[in-house]
Amino acid sequence: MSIDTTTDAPVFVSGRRQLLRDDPSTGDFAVHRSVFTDPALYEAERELIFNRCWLYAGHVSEVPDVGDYVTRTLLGRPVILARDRHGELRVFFNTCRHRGALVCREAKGNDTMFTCFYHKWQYRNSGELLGVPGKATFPDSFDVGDFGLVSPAKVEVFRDFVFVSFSSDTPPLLDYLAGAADFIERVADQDLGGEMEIVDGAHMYSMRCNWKLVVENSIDGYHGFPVHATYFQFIGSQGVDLSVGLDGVARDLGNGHACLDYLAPFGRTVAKTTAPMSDRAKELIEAKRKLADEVLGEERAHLVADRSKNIFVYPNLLIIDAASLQVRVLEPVRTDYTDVNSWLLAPKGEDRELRRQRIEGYQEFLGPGGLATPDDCEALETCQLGFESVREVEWNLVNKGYGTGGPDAVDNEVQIRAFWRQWHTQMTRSTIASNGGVSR
Amino acid sequence: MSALDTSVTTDRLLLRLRVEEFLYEEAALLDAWRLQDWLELVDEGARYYVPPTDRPDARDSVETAFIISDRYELLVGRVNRLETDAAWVERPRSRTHRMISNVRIAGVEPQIVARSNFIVHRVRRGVTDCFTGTYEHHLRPEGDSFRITERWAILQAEALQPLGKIGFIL
Repeated sequence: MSIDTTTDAPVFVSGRRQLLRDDPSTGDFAVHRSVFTDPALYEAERELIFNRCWLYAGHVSEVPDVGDYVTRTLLGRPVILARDRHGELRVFFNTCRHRGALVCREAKGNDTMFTCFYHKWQYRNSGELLGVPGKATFPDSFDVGDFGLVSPAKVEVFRDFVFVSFSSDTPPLLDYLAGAADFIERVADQDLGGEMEIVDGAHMYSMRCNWKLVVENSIDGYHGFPVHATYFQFIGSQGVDLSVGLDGVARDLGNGHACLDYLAPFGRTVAKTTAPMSDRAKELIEAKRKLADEVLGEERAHLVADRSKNIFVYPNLLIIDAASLQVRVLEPVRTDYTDVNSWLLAPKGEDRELRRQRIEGYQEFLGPGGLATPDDCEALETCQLGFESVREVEWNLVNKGYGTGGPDAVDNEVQIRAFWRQWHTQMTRSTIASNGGVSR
Repeated sequence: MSALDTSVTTDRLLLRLRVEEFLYEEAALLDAWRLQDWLELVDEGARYYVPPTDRPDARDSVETAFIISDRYELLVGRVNRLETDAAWVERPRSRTHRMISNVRIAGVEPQIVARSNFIVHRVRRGVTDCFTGTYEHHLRPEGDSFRITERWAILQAEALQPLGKIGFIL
């Protein structure tokens, strides 16, 4: 690939000069479709974005007690989240320092030790290598103290959300989160003085499309009624008042983070009753809403409890705080294939009736068996197929509401443009640096 | 060795055969997308469960977030939705092909509980997915057939990857 050192114009790994058109004077905003199809760009994303950003790794409630651990995959890497013997939360790459085998092969459990079964190397749950069989026959220079389990370059916890970064250059988590921090708090504050927890049962599904399509879709308020008409028909048939519509704003939260912030017809277990709910659920929700005013103050309680929020934390975490409360993490697998891992978040010790309501609110819309999410899969998978004509039909439009002077309503696209600008900045700056040694 | 009580054995086998026939008919209706006819087999108040793939043993759909734990109203809503033109994920519809085997009667009181193994091949837009698992049907005798009071489709997949999603009635 040729590198043009005479201008600042980015040259992407694909050799294209332009992947984004962004002109506020005309309201032109377009994304070149090769960003969804080009394997070279996908590889570059893994290095330039995912290896350099904070990534959600799990929730503190998943390892509440000393010795608890869960294992999962982060950008292809097997990792362990563990509560070590000192009570500290630890994240390790799940690989033996000796020859690589997984040191923990269970999805979750409780143990003081991780033992590689290949040659029986044994690690404490705080990471130290305790011993190796046949130690006397290793060279004198081999010090077990140097071969503990390895952790990601950075691990930080914000309001019980655990993030890791594979790069030591990533800014501190709070700086990185920018305006998204307050929105994460508006979710975390739903504990009303208690704690939040991940609900048992993970929904691990997939879409045959590029991960960025899932990002767009998760914060896209424009598609709601055309794609999900059958969902709204169903809740309407149950007696939910649909006259409210989706009323709110789309926000650019800085650093690529974004959200929809709105009032909606569906019920919320923190604030909003609907006609089909049981009397007991209605009583509990009303009491909870009053408690929110007391604990948070009226203004904050409105933001936390009444308003629904689709929060995108760049690059791959979504917190959907709507008819339920979902943590959705995107794991890019190929340029045209994405794993989606989804959990429910809830106040610990929640009344069973509210928990039932919360789970039903999720199941009616969200997840791989809902009345709505599978239709999103269909939309995105057909977009991916459409991109096969990228040579002839090159550009996606993301220009709704751009430069029109109108409000940033939820069905406009300022939030999606925020994502693309950050993506573009990271790919541009880093690509120039990696190709030509030019940094900005 | 005591003599085999043939009457008990025969009753048990006949019950299993009747249940098998019911399961095969149910599978044929679902494969044919005759969903309203399928709904005729389902008792009002029945529940339809798909536990999450990491907790195939889960039984309490409030303690654990199931992928699906439809109360009857939601199940009817699911069927009605699938019959509209706007259930995009199933337009065009998946072609499904169900194989049911290893049918066992796990209980007869207060209701008949039948467990069976399933393989559902789903073909759509160039991709063949294979859903494997165990059905558990709770059946109430009605006339010379049964009505479903509870229906479990317990996936034995480790994840819905690469199956994607469950757009049809599993």
